[in-house]
Order: sequence, then C-alpha cells, then structure tokens
Amino acid sequence: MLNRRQFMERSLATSSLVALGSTVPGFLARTAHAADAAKDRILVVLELNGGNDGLNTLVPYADEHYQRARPTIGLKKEEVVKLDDMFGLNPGLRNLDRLRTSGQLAIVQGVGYPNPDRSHFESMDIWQSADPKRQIGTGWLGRGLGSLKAAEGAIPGMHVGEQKLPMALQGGPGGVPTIHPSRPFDLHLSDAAGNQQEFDGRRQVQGGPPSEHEKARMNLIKSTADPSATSGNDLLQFVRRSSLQTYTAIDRLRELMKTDGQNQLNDIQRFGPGGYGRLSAHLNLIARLIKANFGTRIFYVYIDGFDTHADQRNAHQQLLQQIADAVNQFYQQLEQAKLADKVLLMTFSEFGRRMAENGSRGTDHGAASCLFVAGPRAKGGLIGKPPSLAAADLDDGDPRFTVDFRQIYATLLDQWLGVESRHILGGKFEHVELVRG
Amino acid sequence: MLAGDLPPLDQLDPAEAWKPWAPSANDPWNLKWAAHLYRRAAFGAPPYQPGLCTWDGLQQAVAQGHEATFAQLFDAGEALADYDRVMDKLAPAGGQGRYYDPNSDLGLHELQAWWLHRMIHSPFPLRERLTLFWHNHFATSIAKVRSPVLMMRQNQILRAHALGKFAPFVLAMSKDPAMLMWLDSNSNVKGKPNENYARELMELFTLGVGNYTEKDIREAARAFTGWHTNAQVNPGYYQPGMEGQARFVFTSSQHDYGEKTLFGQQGKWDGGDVVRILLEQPAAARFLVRKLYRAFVSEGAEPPDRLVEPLAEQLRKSDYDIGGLLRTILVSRLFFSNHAYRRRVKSPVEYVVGLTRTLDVQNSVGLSTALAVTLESMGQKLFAPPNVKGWDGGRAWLNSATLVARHNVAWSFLGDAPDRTNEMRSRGYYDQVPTIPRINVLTLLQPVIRKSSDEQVGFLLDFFLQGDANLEVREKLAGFLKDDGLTPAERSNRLRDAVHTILLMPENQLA
Repeated sequence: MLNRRQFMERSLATSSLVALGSTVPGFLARTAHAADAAKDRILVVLELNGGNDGLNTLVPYADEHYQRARPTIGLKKEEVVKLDDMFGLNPGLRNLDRLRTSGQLAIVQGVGYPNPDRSHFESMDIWQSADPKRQIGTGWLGRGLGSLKAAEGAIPGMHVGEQKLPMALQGGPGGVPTIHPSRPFDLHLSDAAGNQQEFDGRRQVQGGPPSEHEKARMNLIKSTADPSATSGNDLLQFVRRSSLQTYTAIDRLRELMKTDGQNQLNDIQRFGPGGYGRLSAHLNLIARLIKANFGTRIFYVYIDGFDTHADQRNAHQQLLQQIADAVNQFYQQLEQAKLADKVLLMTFSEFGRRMAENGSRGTDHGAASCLFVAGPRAKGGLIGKPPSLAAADLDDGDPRFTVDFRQIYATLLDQWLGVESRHILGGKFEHVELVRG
Repeated sequence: MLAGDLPPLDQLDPAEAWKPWAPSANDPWNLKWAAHLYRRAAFGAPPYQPGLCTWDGLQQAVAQGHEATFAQLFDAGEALADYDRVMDKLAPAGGQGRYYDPNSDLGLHELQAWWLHRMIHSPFPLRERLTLFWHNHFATSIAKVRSPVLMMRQNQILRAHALGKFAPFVLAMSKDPAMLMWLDSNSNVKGKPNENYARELMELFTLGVGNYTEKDIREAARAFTGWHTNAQVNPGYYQPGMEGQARFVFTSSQHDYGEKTLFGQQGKWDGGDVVRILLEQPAAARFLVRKLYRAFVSEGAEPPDRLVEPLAEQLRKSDYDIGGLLRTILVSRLFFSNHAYRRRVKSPVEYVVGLTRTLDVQNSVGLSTALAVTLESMGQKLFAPPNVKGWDGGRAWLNSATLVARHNVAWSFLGDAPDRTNEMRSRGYYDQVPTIPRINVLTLLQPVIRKSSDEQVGFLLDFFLQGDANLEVREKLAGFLKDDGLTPAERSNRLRDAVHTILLMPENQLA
C-alpha cells in the first residue's frame, strides 16, 4: 500500500494539474525561481480596519495641543507606556514591552499620503493599491507576488481570515487562497469522511488517505474545472482557475495537517468558542504554517473595529491589547522554533483620526497615523519625524504626514522581500530606516 | 449567429439593447432562457407554488411562453397578501426570551431564517431578490445595531419600497432607527455635526464617489442635525421589548436651522431637502442604473455611458420608479443575450436558496436556520454585511475558503453531512439542532433512472445547468456513471456523486 507521501507524489504526477501546463497556478510552475537567500523571508501584514486613532496609539502626552484637543479621551502621562519625555504608547500595548525593550519594535510616526481621502473605502483602497490617484485596480502585495521568489510547490501569498480577499493581495498570478483555522479546509466527498467530527477539525488529523472512490471523485471534480477548455466567458475562466487552485491548495494543506499531527489537534481545540481572540487564532495558524515550512512568504490578517466615532477610550484600548497579546504570542512561538528572524510583521490602517475629539467622546475620520513593524530584524524605536500638532501646521484639522506609506512599502519590498519596488509602486520611493541589515 | 449573440457593448445601439426581447426561430424561448430569468430574478426557480417541483415549474414556464412567465414574475397575484400576512406575523419579535448574543448569533439566526424562508417560499421572489439588493445597498449590520427587531423592521422597509419609488425610500431609510444607530446620527448635533450619514448617503446610497465635494458633505450633515432616534440598545445588556417604541425623533433644539448651500442651492435645508437635491443631480440616476446593471445584467465589463443613459433618463422621467426600470431591464434584448448569460457570480444566498429550490428540499423546522449558519462560511452573513459598502460581490465571492464551503453545503444535501451537533450546541441550540435535511436524488431522477449513462448525464446537465457543459465533461461524467456490474446501492451512490460534481461545476457558480 502506498504511504501518504507516495500517494501525493503519484497523484500529482498523474493528475490533470500537471498536464495543464502553463495554466497551473503559479506555485507549481515556480520551481525555476527557487534557491535564493531572500526566499525564506516572510512578511505578515496586519490590517487595522476602520481607521486607527494614531494619536491615541502613539500618544504625544506632553504636547499641550494634543491634551487641549482631547479633553475627555486624551491619555495622560501617568496612563501611557512611557517612551520618552514626549511620547508614550497606549496602555493597551503594554504586552509589546518584551519586543519593544529588546529593540524589535519599529514605531513609524506620521505615516500618510498627500491629499488624504477620508472615506474608509477610498483610503483603504489607496493603501492597498498603493496608488493615491486610484487608477490601479490591483494590490501592492498581489503585484509583488509576481516577482517574489518562493520555494518549490509553495503558495507564495495567503490570506488568513473570514472576510473577502483584500485588495492588497489581488492581481497576483494564480490568485491567493483564503484559509482560516476554525473552519476545516477540505472537501466532503464520501459518507465515511463526512461522519467524522467536523467542527474541531479532527477530520483532517484522523482521516487517513483518501479511498479509491474519493480519488475517483476528486479527479472527476478537477476535470470539470479545466481552464484549458475554451470559453469566451472571462468569468467562467476565473471560476475554473479559482477552483483548480483550491483543489491544489487542499492537497498541500492535507499534507501539512497530517504531518503536524497531535500538536495541531491541540491548537485547533483552542480556536473554538472561548479560546483565544480571533486575531490570535489567525496568527497562531500562520505561525504553524511557518513552522511547517509551508513556504508562503506573504500572509495577510485583519482586525476590525477601529472606526471609533463614539466612546472610544476603552474600546480602542481593548483592540490594541488584542493586537499586543496576539503579536507577542506569535513571536514567542516563532522564537521557540528559532524562526523569528525570518519574519517581519507590519500593521497599517486606512487613516488616523481627527486631532480633535468629537461631541460623543470619539473621533472622526482623519489623515496621517502611526504604524508598527515588529520582529528581530526590525530597527526598534521611534522612526520618522513627528507631525506638528500646532493649529497652523494641521492639514484640514489633522496631523500632516511626514512619511509616505509607499516609502515603507518600498523599504519592505526592496530590503526584506527582495522584490524591486520601483516596478510595484510605479516609481522610486526613499527608504525608511526600519530593517536591520 | 448563435442564439443570444449581440455585437460588443461599445458597438451596441442602446435603443436596440433595451428593446423588449422577442423569441425567434433561431433564438426561441426555452429552458436556457427561462432558467436564466429565474436565476436573476427569483433565486433560480419559478415563484413557489405548493406541490409544484422546480423541474416541472421550469417546463411549465417554457410551455406557457415568455409573456406569461414575465407576468407571473412581476405580479404575484392574490397569494401574496396571505403569504405576507403570515410571514409578518411570524417575524421574530424579540421579547420572548430570545435576545441577540453576538457570540452565538442566536437571536440573529432566527431573523436570518425568517428571511431565507421568504426567499425560498415567497410567491413573489422578485421582491425578495430586490430586498436583498437593497440590503446590500443600504448595508447595515447587526454587529453595531445589536437589535434583531430593529434589523427586522429595516428589512420590512426595504421590502415595502423594493420595487417602488426611490425618493420616499431614501427618506424612509434616513429615518430608520437601525440606520440612525448604524451611522451615529444621534451624535449629529448643531455646532458639532457628525458627517457619517451625510457622507455615506452621497458616496454609497445616491451619487457615488466623485460626484460631490467635502463641502457638500459638511453642509448636508448640518441639514441632518437633530435627525435622531430614541432607540437605545445597550451592547452589553440587551433588553427585549425596548425597541418596540423605537422610532425616529426630530430633536429641534439640536437642529441647525441656518442657511446651507448644497450643490449650488441655498436655503434653510433639512434632511428631506438634502434627499430631494441629491436626486436632482444627474449623477444619481446613473449611479443607481449602474448598480442595478451589475446586479441584474452583468458583472463583466462596465457598460458604456451611452448604454446607461436611456435607463437613467427613464428613471428621472418616472420619478425614480424602480419596478418600472427593473421590468425594462429584465425583458430586454440585452438581458437575453451573451452579454448577460452566466455573467454574474452567484452570491452565497443565491447559491443556497437556488440549491434548496432546485433540489426541491422539503421545508423543515431547522432548514433555514441551518442554511443561515452555512451562509456565514461562504462570506455572506445576512444582516451583518462587512461594512456600509456592503458585500463587493462578483469575483470577491470566490476564494479557496468560500469555494470549499460551497462544495460542502452541496454535499450536506446529498450525503451524510458531518455532524454539526457540537457546533450548534456551542451556539446555544440544545433542544432541537437545526440540520439540513438529506434528499434522495433518485426521486429527482425518475425519468432516467433506467436509462444509459449518456442519457442520464444529458438529463442531469439539463436539469441543473441547462446543458452548459462541454463534451469532455460529459464524457467524464458518463464514464463515472458507467455500470460495470455495480450493485444497486453503488449505482445510486454514483448518481448522487455525479449530481454533487455538477453542483460544484464552475458553471454552477455563475448566475
């Protein structure tokens, strides 16, 4: 009888996927690019959706303009995690102390772009497409995937979460799969398999190699998604490619879940109700994929709730605390596996919030904000010039940006991912000192 | 020329495109066009009639001709009043010990199930389809509103106006307590305007990006100051019954009575004036037409302006009569053409409601509740769109996770579905765990049960896809069904598995 690996090899060799040649999703055809030092560096992008209040994240507590503009929600000297005589972090971020004090947390201030758009969707698209003119319909990471070097058989980019594929990852060759931990990523093809427990994910662990019948079923299903079949309908071709990509990713993940064995079972039990927060669960899955040497180089995760128009003080602090807890745990896991060096994590949000609080102890849509880049290879400390908060220096009532977000993208593309940023961003952007050589 | 072929969009004469379609000898009214119409306008099946299975209903539509089929689709007749009366009575009213718990979504499932039941069983599915369209247009989420009853009442407003005039509709939404809570209207007060509603009203509800200025938003926000609600649902502690009294209130003391200038018009405007002025802008009709085009004609190439303009003009001249516009679209030559045919990705709701109808799944207590739960895994949690922009739709519906979810829900109708008892218990269902009932495909397949595998494949592909499959797929399916000394049980399992395969086909993800 064949063992699992032999089965995988054999079925890949004989399946229609290989016969499909150039239409196969990028990761099967990418073997030629392998063997490069930069190819195992990983970037995790964490989206803070809703517009994170930068001034209550990196707090200029000693600035009188700040305190005057925020009489009820302004954070005082004794409340913040003090960085220096001017700045402190929101108390929700205390659990980043370990990374911060060991110089692994870059805090970039005043990040934004010219003529800020205060619509969530417009500004989010601007950040994700890296195009303030809104002429490009694809994402900066998606475009980057085309020239990213990844290991043989790897899925270069992956989206972990329940929501739709973010624009940032769109436009890459072969697309980007979405997975998340609380729902099993597998097809139910026979009664026996279906009878396994689904919710806690044991099915993937316990389910042995597929039966002959399941294999026949899978081959039949794959053959209906053959993108080399002619069609004048672009949408149909899109669905065929997406389906085929899904079946291939399933094969890969089955392999991972199997080799991961009992540890994985324990992890999955924590994802259910009452376990970690959702962000923790998603970063945990990413850590597991990294530890399993899955080969994915860009991961994208998301946390929601930053649109704090009213009563924001506690809500905002709790959101930041979720991030601090999740990111701290994520790096602890990677450190134990001696893999932290390979991973940088960047946060971003579509905009900051107005300098002045509104009438409901919240803040409305603003412009420039701060962001974090974490990891052993990040250059720790405050980076960039703080925006002046004096009334005369404000941009329509908001802090004016001092660092263009595309400078950060350019730095990470060129210095971390080994992808020439000029082609991705449509021009050269000055680097920011945030990656250690 | 093939049936349904029209010249490329940019060479198409708009007058020709929007002319009523008429069948001809080489482009007859047939199964393909009847199913196309029902996929777009009625979740994939004829208006529900007790005792009439979907396949027979489709045959009936073909036999009665396109005119009679349109008539039935646009006018539900006498059955509607009775159905509405019952369903309105059954609406989850809250206050019966059921509350909204964001962790289990318990109170929400009831509401979702109620709406799904309407989509499956309504004698007027076109109105439910439009209600879904408007839910996505005026996208409001229970995640912030926190009250199933207020979400239900908003849903009733969407339904009441679904095929009516747009101006009173926008005004009703501007005063809807769920909407007022969703976009922070209570903090919109004189001297400290909150721009949230004014901005989304222009950006997403009426004009679209680029058709207004930041100043227009500020002025409109002032006009809406004092448009409040007395609804107060405390996120931490939900008191059923409180929203019984929830309504729109005009807080005169917090309304800014000053002069405002909006799109060049100066006056002491209030919210009602804003709605009027917005709908006077030429961009408004175009914006709405483009959105309806994407929902009912095609998610492919954006239509050129000259194709949009006649419909926009019809809207303006008809006082923004949505039902009239829908009729023009759905009976048009363009609708019955290659530009529209399978040019949309089914939304998860369309996919599961369509499955339920096509497979003639018998209604059971738990069916629509179980479906509501599966929808979430496909990326469309009803009453909880991701944000005020709604679901993006189109290609964004499909990724590896949502495709797997679609595959598996199809299997749950056909095979022994995985036991979800634990999941449902964790969500608070102890007595009766909602499940998707398993159907016996053999009852669907009576006409061909003893026929050759080629004939069976032909029938199945007609039944589910009106023949939209290439030769290679037909051969593969026939090979799979070939009877090489199978036992009767194996034979029926193979048929069932072939049905599952067809339900997963890329063609079946398209509407």
